[in-house]
Amino acid sequence: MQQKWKIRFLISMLLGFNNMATSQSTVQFKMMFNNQTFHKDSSYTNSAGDTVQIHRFMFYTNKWKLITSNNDTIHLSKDHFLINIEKEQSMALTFPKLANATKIIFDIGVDSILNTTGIQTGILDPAIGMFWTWRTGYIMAKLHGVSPQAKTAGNRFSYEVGGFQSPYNSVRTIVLELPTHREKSKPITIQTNMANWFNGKHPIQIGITPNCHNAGKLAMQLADNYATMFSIDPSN
Amino acid sequence: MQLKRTIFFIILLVIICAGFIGINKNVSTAKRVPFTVPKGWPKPVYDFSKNPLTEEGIALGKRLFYDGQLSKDGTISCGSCHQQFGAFNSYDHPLSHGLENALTTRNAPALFNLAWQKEFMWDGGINHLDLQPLAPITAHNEMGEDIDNVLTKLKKNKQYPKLFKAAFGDETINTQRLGKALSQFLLTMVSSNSKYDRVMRGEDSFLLSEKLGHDIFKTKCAQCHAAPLFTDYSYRNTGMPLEPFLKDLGRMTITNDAADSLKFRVPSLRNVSVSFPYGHDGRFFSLINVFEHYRNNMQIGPTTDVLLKNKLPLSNYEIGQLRAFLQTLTDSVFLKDPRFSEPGIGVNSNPPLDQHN
Repeated sequence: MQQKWKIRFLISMLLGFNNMATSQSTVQFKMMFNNQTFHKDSSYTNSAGDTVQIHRFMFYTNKWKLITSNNDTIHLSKDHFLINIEKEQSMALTFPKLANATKIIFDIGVDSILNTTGIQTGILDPAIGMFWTWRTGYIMAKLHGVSPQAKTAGNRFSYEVGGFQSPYNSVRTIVLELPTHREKSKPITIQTNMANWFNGKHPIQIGITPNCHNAGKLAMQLADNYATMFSIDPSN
Repeated sequence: MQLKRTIFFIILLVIICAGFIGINKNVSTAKRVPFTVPKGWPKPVYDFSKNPLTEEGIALGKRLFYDGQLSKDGTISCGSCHQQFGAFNSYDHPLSHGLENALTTRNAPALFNLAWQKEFMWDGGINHLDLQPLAPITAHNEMGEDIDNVLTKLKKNKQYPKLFKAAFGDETINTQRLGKALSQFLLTMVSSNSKYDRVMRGEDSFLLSEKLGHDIFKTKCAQCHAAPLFTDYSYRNTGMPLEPFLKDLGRMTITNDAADSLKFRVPSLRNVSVSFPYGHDGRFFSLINVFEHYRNNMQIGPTTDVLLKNKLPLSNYEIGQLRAFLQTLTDSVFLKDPRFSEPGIGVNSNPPLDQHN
């Protein structure tokens, strides 16, 4: 008798999980360096011919939404997320909404209002280190690594991109077309090609500009570059 | 059956009530403190609705302000470089000292009337009072600490979790609460009781030289150092040549706009007689140096303020009267107010002998 109840309970649990799975959208970031899957300890060569080893890569995202075939906008979340290559679980986002969408849209960066209203909490707590304390503003994205081409202590290069005010607003909106006839409950895998930091739009040479630690022209160029690093994985 | 239902109902009621007790535990019972705007002053820019002043919050902020634990090696507190007898500036220091004998690159400004200030630092790079303390806490040549380490130290401390609970309703210690508590204390530091204020309120009268100085001030200085705050909080180039070692471009560092080169925030002149040295890098030791700069030594460049394109002509006579007037901006009540003084040291601490003004 008891056994029977246990089985019934398990079945209902499984059904419950199934129900959850069909009513949520999952986005998975897949880190790449050009055509290769990215590994933290590996060396890669960028388009300028610079050899790079990347050990830190983080960025904020928010304003996730889907566009349906009828051009309806479905807002997925009001939250900010911090994607961090050192935290596997940060690279998968789950939203409790689902739709037959043709596009997925999101921002890279932190909403400007949160840059001007004092200290935020949670994932936006300045203690996380994605914040400039000497001049107010979030670091929208950072990329740290070493390269023999960097003429700096320890051959380190360090790109920290921020700035939320015109003309140096570094927030970028990403629009990705989803394949037609895709299974709507299937996770959306977004390939993230880190090589684009160096050549997405503007050629960046580590030997010339190994550091970015302020809002301004270089930060804008880097933001333009990494805005091009996302694409929908062909397996979708 | 009826009895069972009644018992069930009572239990349900008890559970619901217990829930409310649980919720109430997290609601701050801290005592509200009203913020008084001096008569005739503008509306503060700080949003008190997001951080209402309370006795417990102010007390916590004061304790944090004077706590060396906010620095890496425990030796430097906010109060180390913001001393009450200098209206909370770094008294007699062009540049203040940070961790391990490091020198900072700018003069620590006097602190008062912060509820009316929208942007902070000499370059205006910080846009909210709550965020301001994070700059000196994390700067390697000031307090040199990570925010995370500060929070860890506060959480481990026996007193702080209780003090945060008293101020904010529960024992959570995070960056936001650290900033809010410090702001609460800093916001109470209002300086509005100088002789000038008493004269304006009709409680006192100027001596002749002070009155003449006030008239000269109104025609020659008040465009930027506007009453009642004695600053308009704008950024201006007053013709101070670029310091070749510090190479500080001021406002341009923040805006990346060449038009902002060598512009710095107009400082308030309240308590000016006790807050020497002057200038963003403390290059002027005395008011006489400042007057001499304005009338003779200014370097006129492309971003020099339009009001100062022909320097600021001042006769010796005018300088004498202006000095007399500026003395009336010293708020001795503020400088000795025990509400702001360092615990254990109090208001009995005296500044070193004033050799400059």
